[in-house]
Amino acid sequence: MNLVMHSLFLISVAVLSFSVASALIAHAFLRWSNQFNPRSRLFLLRLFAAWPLLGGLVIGVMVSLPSIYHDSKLPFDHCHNPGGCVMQPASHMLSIGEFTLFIGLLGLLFWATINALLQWRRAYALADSIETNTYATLAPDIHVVEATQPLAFSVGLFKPVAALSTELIRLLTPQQLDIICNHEQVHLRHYDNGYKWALRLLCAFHWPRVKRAILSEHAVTLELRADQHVAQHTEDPIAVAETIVVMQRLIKPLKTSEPVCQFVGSALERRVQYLLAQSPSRDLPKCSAALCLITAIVIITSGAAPIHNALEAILRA
Amino acid sequence: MQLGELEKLVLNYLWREHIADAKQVHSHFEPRRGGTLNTIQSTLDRLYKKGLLTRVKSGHAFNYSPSVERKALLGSLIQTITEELAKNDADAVLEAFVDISVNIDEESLQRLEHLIASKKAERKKNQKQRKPV
Repeated sequence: MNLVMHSLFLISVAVLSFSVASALIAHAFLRWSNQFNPRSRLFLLRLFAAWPLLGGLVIGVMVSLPSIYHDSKLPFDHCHNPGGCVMQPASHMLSIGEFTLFIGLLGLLFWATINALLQWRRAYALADSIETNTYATLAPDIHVVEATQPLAFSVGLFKPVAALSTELIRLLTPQQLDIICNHEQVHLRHYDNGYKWALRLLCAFHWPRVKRAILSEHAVTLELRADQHVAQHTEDPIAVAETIVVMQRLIKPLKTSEPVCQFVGSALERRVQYLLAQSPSRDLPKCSAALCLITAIVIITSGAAPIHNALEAILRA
Repeated sequence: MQLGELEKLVLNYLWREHIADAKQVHSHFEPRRGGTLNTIQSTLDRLYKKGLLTRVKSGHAFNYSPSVERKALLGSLIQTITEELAKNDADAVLEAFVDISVNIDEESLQRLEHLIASKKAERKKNQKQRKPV
């Protein structure tokens, strides 16, 4: 029990350290990741979002794992430093301060989980209502709902649906509608709403400012990827950019009283500029995820004992 | 409110037909979906218990009609959607994090439109140049 509690405390300290480190490098990281194409950037953003949690878990486990062989069942019970170590062997349960830190982080995770569950329930109910009130379907999973506002959005986490309003269909040309349908279908195909939802949960341990920045960049990058896919599909990026601006014009009079349209929601100027520039951006190798995993396994297996001993050398007499 | 696949279909049918008994509903769905009269009866009963249908006894059977107007249900859905879209923060389930309420000014819009127009003109010019004489 003592070892488990101490290990959880160590994981908490590691999570907190990674969170602080992420806050320090967030700005530079987001700028650096801008050079990559949307697909690669999404991978980097998701990795960065999970960094405090994964990093904390990995380091915490690495430090704690060798303690299994300690007779005392304490994380640090002997000193590797011939000159003597700083602290006495821990022969107690967690102190109040240590316990508070652990409970604080656990509370944060619990709060994020509750929020995520509520969002999932709302998304599910909304997707269900859209299916119930479908007036017609334009394409598979693209529902038409009767509304006097020009609306286009997708909703649902694991079984997402997209919806367009009848007003939008009335106002746009067939080509523009095709572009919007394709755009929404890209969101559905890649489960973008689900990823957004999961990312919110993963970002629980980031500082609020960093969390906002990551989520915002992630949302814009999802839009850029959808735009890029549609531009490739239609072979006409200018038409896609034009549709975005047309939609913005359509919803502009509604801005004060009515809401808007997801399709034009995100960083309009950035999206249009990206489509028109079509400058080649860097791509991460396809095996990046596998490489990350292999590196992590190598570090964990070879680094656990040295890190544990190093900490023991510093902390225990 | 979460509705099953058949519940949604039956509700949509009753919105169209206004009033029907279980046999009529069954004869409508039977050729397309199959299923027994019992299934339809229990579906109608569930919808009645959820407050979406009203029923009046007629002989041995019940006549069902929608208790909620489609427009009313739709109105509340649109209201929910618009509220979700307007939220535009970490709590929204539609467009969650990008500030859709940001008002892009007229000048920026015009600049983008000019940019698109110039790109179009450029493309047209290139296409003309490529055409064999």
